[in-house]
Amino acid sequence: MWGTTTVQVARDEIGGWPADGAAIRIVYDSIIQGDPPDVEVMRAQRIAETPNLIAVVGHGGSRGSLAAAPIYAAAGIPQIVPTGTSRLLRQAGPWAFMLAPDDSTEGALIGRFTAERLGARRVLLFFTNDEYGVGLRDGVAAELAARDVAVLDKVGVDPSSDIPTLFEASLRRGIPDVIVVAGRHTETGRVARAALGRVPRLRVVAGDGALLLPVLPDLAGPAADSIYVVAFWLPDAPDSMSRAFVERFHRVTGHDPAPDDAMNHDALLLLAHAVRAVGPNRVAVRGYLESLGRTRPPYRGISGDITFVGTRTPPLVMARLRGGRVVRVTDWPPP
Amino acid sequence: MTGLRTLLRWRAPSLRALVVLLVGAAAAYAGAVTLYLTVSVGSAAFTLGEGTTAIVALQDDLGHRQALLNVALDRCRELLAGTRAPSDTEVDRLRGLIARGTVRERAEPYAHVPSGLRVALAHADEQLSRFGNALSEMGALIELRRIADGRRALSRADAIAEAVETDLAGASELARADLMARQEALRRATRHAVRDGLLLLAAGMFFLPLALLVVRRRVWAPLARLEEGLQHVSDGDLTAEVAVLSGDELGRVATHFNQMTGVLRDRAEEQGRFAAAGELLAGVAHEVNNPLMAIATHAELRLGDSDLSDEARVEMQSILRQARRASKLLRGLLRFVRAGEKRAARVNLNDVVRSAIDLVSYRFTVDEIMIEGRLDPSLPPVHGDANRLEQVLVNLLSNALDALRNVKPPRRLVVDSFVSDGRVCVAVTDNGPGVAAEIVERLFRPFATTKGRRGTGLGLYISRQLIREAAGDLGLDPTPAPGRGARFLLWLPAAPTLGAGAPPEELPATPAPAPAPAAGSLAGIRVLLVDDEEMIRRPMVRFLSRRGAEVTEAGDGLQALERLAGFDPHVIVADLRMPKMDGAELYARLQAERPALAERVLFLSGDITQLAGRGLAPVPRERVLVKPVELAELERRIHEFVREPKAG
Repeated sequence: MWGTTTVQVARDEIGGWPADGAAIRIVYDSIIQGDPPDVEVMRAQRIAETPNLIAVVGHGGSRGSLAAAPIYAAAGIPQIVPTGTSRLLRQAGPWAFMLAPDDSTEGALIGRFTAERLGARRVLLFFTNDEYGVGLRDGVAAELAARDVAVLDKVGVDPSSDIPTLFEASLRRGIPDVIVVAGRHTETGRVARAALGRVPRLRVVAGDGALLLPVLPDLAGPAADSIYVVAFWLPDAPDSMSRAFVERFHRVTGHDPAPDDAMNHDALLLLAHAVRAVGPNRVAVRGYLESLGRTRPPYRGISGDITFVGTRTPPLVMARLRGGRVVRVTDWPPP
Repeated sequence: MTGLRTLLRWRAPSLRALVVLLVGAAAAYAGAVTLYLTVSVGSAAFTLGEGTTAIVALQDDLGHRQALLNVALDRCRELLAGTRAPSDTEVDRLRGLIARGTVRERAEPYAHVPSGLRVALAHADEQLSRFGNALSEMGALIELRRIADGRRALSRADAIAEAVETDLAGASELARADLMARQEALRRATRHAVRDGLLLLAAGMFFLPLALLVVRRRVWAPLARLEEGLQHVSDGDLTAEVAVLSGDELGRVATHFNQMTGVLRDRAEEQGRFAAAGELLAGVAHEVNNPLMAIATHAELRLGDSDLSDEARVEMQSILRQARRASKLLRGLLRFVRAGEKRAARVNLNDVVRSAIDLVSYRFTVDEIMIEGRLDPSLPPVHGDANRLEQVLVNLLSNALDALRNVKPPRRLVVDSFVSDGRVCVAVTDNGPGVAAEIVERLFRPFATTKGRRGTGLGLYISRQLIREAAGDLGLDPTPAPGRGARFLLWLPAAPTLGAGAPPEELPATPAPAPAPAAGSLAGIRVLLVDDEEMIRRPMVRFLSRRGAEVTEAGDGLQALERLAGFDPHVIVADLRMPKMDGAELYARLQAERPALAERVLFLSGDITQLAGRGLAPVPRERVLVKPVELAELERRIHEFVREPKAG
C-alpha cells in the first residue's frame, strides 16, 4: 500500500530539514479508494476533529474527495487532493486544492494518443459510472469526436459486470481498433482480458486510475502487454528531484515508487513547506497555497511546478505494460 | 427635565460635532437595522435557497434516471417474456433508455448538500449506476438473443430496482425533512426579524424626540432668536440683543451680533451728535456771518476812503483779510458737515485738496506740523462728487495729523498730486510711526481702528468705498518701511475730454471774480435793502449809494412791504433770516400779491446750506448771496440781476 511508505519517505525528508519553527507531524489515516460516500464522510468528520490538524492530503479518488470536501470546508481545513481528477473538485469550495489535472485534460491526452499514436478510427468506450469514470469518458469522447474517430459504444461497467457479454454485444456495432477504459484497474484488467480473448490484436488504453501494480497485469493476464495507461509521473524520470525521490523510496521500501506515490509525496512536502513558511495556521496555509504562482513562485515538486491557478497541467506521461512493468512510451508524442 | 437640561448643557459639543454626531447616529441606526435584517433573514434565506437548488437538482436527476431505468426494466421484461426475438429497433430503443438512465444528466457538486442527505443521495446515485449497469448487461443478453440468461438476470435487476426505490425514498424523506427544517429556520428568522425590526423602530422612535429636542435647543431656538434680533435691527432698533445661552457656534454668533449692535449704537449716537453739531453750526454760522459781514463791509468802505492814512489802510486790509479767512473757514465747515446728496461733476482734485487742507489747517500751527508738497498745475479733472472727495481727503489728512501727534518734531505732512499711467493721483504722506504690520491686512475693513474709542473704525473703509464708487481706488503704499511713516495713495481716472462746444461741468471751488463794474455803475438803479442788522445794512447802503444807486432801507419784511407802497425798486436785497417777517416770507407775499416784484428779489443768508438747496427757505437758490458778501461782488450781482431779463 502506497500510503505508509510514502508517509515514511516524507517523514524522513522533513526530518532532515534544519530544526526551526514548529515541529511537523504527518499522521497516516487510511487510503482506500472506492469506499462508499457515507464511509468517506464519517472518515472526514473523524479526521477534522484531530487536534492541531493543519491540513489534509486526500482522500483517495475523486468520489471520496468530493464527499469529504464539504466537511473540511466547514471546518476550515485545507485539503490537497493528490490524484482525484473529477472536474467537480474545482467546485468543491475554497479549501480544496486539486493537484492532478482534471479529467478533461487527461481525456484529451488519451483521445489524442489513441488517434495519433495508435491510429484508431473506431473506439469502444468502457467506463465506471462514477465521477472519475464519467468525467474521463466525456473528456475522451470529446477529443475523439474532434478528431473524427468513431465511438462505437459507451458501456458502463462495475466490478460485478459480465464484461464478456457486454463486449460481445458491443461488437455488433463494429470491431473496434482500440478500447478505452475510463475506469480503475479492476475494470481495465477484466476488459482487456475479455476483449483480447475475443479480438486478439486489440489495444486497450486506460486512465491513471488503472495503474496499480501488480494487480492490473494480474487481472489482464495475457492481455496485459496490450494495455496503455496514463501516468502523472514515472520513476524513470531523469530529473534530479525524481532521481533523489526514487533513491529514498528504494531505501525505505526496496522497490520503485508508483505515480501516486510521487503525487502524494508532492502534496505532503508542499504542505510541510507551507507550514514552515507561514506557521501552523490553517488560514495562513490556505493563503500560502493560493499564493503559489501569484505572489509566490510555483512550488517545484517531483511531478512538476505546482500552482493552483487555473487547471494544473503536470507533464502527463503515456506508458504501457511490458512483462508486468510500466514502461514509458518513448516515441510519442513526436518531438 | 432639569437633569436633561444639565446633561444637554454639560460639555455640549460644537454644532459641527453635533451635526456629525446626529448624522452618524442616523447612519449607524439605518446601517444596523439593515445589517441585522440582512444577517438574520438573509443568511437563512440564502441557506434555504442554496441548499434547495442543489437538493432539488440532485433529486430531479435521480428521479428522472430512476424513471428511465424503470421503463427500461419493464421493456426488458416485455422483451424477455415475448415469444419472438426482439428486433434491432427494439434493442436500440432499450439501449438508449438505459444509456440515458445510467449517467447523470448534469454533474452537481455535493458541497451544498447536508452531510446526512449527501450520503443518502450518493448511495441512491450509486445504486442507480448499478441498476443501469445491470440493465446494460441485460440489454446485451437480449441483443445476443440469450433469453434464458436474460430472464435469470431479470431477478437481479428487480432486486437492484427495489434497493434503488428504497434508497431514493429514504433520500427523499431526508431531503424533505431538511427542506422543512430550512423553511422553519427561515420562518423563525423572519419572525425574529419582524419582532426585532419593530423593537429597533420603537427604539428609533424613542430617540427621535430626543434628537429633535437637542436640535431644537441647539439650532432652532438660537436661530429664531437671531432672526428676531436681526428683524429688530432691520427695523431700526439698535437696542436689540440676543441672549447668549451656549458657547457653541451660534452662541458665538449671538455674541458677535450683540457686539455689532453695540458698535452700531455707539456709531449712531456719534452720528446723532455729529448731525446735531452740524445743525448747531448752521445756526451759529448765521450769527457769526452777520458780524463778519459787518466787519468786512466797514473795512471795505474804509478802504474806499481816499483820505485813509497808510497805517489805517494796512490795519483795514488786515481786518478785511481776517474776516474773509474766518468766513471761508466757516463756509468750508458748513459745506463739509452738510454735504447733501451726491452731485457728480468734473472736479479738479487740486481744488479739493486745497479745501480739505483749509478745513484742517488750524491744526498745523497747534501741532507744529509742516505742510508741504506739490500740486500738479496741469492735473486733468476727474469725475466725482467734490464734497465726498473732500471728505476722503479730510479723512486722510486727519489720520496723518493724528499719527504725527505721536512723534516728536519735526512733523511733516506732504500732499502731492500728479498723473501716473493716465490716472489722477493724490498722495498723503507723513513721517509718523507708520502702520503696524499686523494692522495692514485689516486696515480698510469696517471697525478697524488704531485710535481706540476715539476712532470709529469707519474712516478708511468709507473713504475707500467713496473712491471706488468713483471708479478709482485708495490704498496704503507699501513702499515706506514699517515705522518710517505712512503714505496713502488715491487715484481716479481722468474725466473724459469735453467735446467742442460742450458746456463745462466743472464746479469751481471759488467762482472766478467778474470784472469790477465801472464807477457809478449802479446809477439810476433803485434798491430796497432789507436786513435786521443795522451794522450790516448801514455800510451796504453807504456803499450802494456811493455807486450811484437809490437805496431805501427796511429792518424786516413787514417794513419792506410798507416801503414798497411808495417805492418801486429795481432790486430788493433781503436777508433770509429776520424777525417778524423773514426774506422767504416776504418773497412768498410778493409772489402772491406782486409777482413782478418777487422776480426782483436777491437774498442774503448767513447759512451756507442755502447754497446746497437744503435750507428751509423756498427761494431760488441762484439768487442767494452767502454772507459775508464782498461789496464788489454785491455790486456785480445787482448789476447782472438788473440787466438780465426776468422770467415772467
